[in-house]
Amino acid sequence: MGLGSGLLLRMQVEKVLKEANIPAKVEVMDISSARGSLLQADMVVTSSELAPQLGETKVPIITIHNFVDLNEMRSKVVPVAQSLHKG
Amino acid sequence: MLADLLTERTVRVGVEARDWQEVVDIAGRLLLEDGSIEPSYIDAMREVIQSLGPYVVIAPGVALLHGRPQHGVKRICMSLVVLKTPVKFGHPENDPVTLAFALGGVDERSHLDALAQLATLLSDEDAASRLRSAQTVEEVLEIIRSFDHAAGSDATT
Repeated sequence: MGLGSGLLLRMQVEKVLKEANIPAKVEVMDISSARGSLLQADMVVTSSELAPQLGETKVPIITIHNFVDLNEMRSKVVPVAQSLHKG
Repeated sequence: MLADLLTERTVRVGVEARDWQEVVDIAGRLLLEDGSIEPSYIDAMREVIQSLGPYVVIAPGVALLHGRPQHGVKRICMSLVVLKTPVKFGHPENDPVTLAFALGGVDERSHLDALAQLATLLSDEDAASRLRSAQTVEEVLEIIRSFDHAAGSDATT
């Protein structure tokens, strides 16, 4: 569903990663494609609603309640992205 | 951008709805009457919620309703329904909904600016609260116009 919420989420993730100077490629995926592609992603950002549908994975999954709150986005996404970026 | 989409034809305030299905109908009908979508798009917006759950409630009290471009979108469009009595969509944290935006995109890119402006507007607590309590369409349009200018340059950086 890369149209409403997905696009919005991508935009916000890109915004906080850019602020933190972390280069990243952010892609929007619907649930069924995300399940198959998870192994290629370093992290997944989704809503708390959809997270359970992703199933079991070793990739860190970050759940966001409020898609327009950049503080929530920053505090949840940046630390994980930073550790991935360094590692 | 946002002010081109949200106009006196696509914004309603003080709306009463029984349930989320009716909210989708009302927000969708505004786009239909504006000639921006086919009737099938309203069903598509409802099906997204039915199949994927109420994840369209993207922030406390805010729903962003949408389907896919191929479900009957004729041109980029957005409508806003300000609900008089908040309506539950079944979202554990963000219910109940007062502001319901319906969005129609023709591809995955062209409505990015509008979406960016909407995000900026909604993240401003003062503006969001004035939207929620707006009594007239003109009040809503004024808030939107102020953000269209304020967010325009930010959205493209």
